[in-house]
Amino acid sequence: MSRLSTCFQQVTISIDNNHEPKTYKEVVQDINWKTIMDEELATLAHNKTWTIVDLPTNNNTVGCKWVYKLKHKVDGSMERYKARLVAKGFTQLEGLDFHDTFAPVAKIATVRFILVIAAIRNWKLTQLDVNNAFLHGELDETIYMDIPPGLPNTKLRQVCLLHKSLYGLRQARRQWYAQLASFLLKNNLKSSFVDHSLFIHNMEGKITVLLVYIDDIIHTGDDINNIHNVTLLLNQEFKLKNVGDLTYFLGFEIARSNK
Amino acid sequence: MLSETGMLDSSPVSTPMNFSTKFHADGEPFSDPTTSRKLIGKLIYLTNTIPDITFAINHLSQYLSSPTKEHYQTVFRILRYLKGTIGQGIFFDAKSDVQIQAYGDSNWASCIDTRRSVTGYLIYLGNTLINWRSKKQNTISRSSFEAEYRALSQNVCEVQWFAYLMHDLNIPILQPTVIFCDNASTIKIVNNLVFYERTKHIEIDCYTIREKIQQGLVKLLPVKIPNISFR
Repeated sequence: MSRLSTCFQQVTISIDNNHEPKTYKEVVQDINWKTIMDEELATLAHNKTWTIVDLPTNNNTVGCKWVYKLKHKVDGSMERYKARLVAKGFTQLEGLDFHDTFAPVAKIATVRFILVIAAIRNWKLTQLDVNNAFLHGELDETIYMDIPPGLPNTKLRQVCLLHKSLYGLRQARRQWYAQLASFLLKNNLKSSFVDHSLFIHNMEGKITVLLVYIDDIIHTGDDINNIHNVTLLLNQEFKLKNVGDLTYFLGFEIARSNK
Repeated sequence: MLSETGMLDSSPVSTPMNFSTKFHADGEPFSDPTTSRKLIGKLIYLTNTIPDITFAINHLSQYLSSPTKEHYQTVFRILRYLKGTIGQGIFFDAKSDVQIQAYGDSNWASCIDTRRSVTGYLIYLGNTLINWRSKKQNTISRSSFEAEYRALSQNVCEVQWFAYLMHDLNIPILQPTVIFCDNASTIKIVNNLVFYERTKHIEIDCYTIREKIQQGLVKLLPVKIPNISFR
């Protein structure tokens, strides 16, 4: 321990002190976790993720659980509690609860290509991160999920009929991509023929480009106003976070100089 | 990765692999294949930003199912190479044109277990390297020219893909893409419209390349530069 730098020591100590709970039972008495779970449930209710119904006979239900995380700041101090309700994708039955699960992602060659063009043409590169991306996806299948622990006022044999996708569902990323793609296409962006995760907005010779890797998006183009407009549109629809200059993408560090 | 493997204090080397090394499947099996697989998996992701090790990694990853001691030693050789080149990435040059250039080569029958050949190509956009590949071909070539040809046709397809991408982004393609190729007979046969008995079996590749040349997408030139720099 003493060989670590002071800053790193602090981080290790604080992570050591803050134990991340694994089960609902461990946290049910803890007011901090309880509040955060109630907030999450409220968001899901607001999002109209499910309706409570009686389980029709002969139907499979998908399990669910809470995942608890402690978010730390760079210096190791606690930032916030995070609780996420996830579906147990492995309890889904193929052909019934899900069909296809793949989602197109940007090819690495396209990423490099866009970066080179942005460098040569001096385009501004920004990065968009979508908040709770997977919760936006609409579901094509009828999925019944067990009542999550902590949901008040439910009776025996009642289940959640899912309308929107949840983290952990096998089709979550596919449905998210479908949702994003249809939104972009509706707003006059075109999906590229050679890479379906590349969306291009082309108006009077002005070009705006969105490159999508699930919920990480590179945004660039030759018209600042247009970039701004597309960002606003996306923010209205999906709520973005961490909008800023592109520095990290898929674990690659990107540095830029003006020379 | 270096600290994980205890390689922080190792002495760097200047090449990722000994060029005379040729792997084969037999040899003394390595006792801990999982560790070896994990390391190679991590290195595969690194090839996304480090083109130099692509060939070595591709070569190694063909023996993931039963790595031998020799393979494992090469993994460490690559780590030592990476130590020497730490901090280097790909430089995206802003003062450059948007013309695609490609280099292609093949290594005839270099895989001693299957006698198949290996394709390699580099694609530049202006001064920046944007795509690279090293891959064992999926059929056996009977001559070096044939291997060269298969590599070339893959290269042409890749160039075509970038051309579509440029079209989508409204970037005009002013002149045909130059593909540098170090095999004189390949260039001759591409430019010669008559098929010979000996080239019959690679007809499809031939037609692909000829069509793209006639469309003005690509043109072939012999390699003149003695050393191609990666970075």
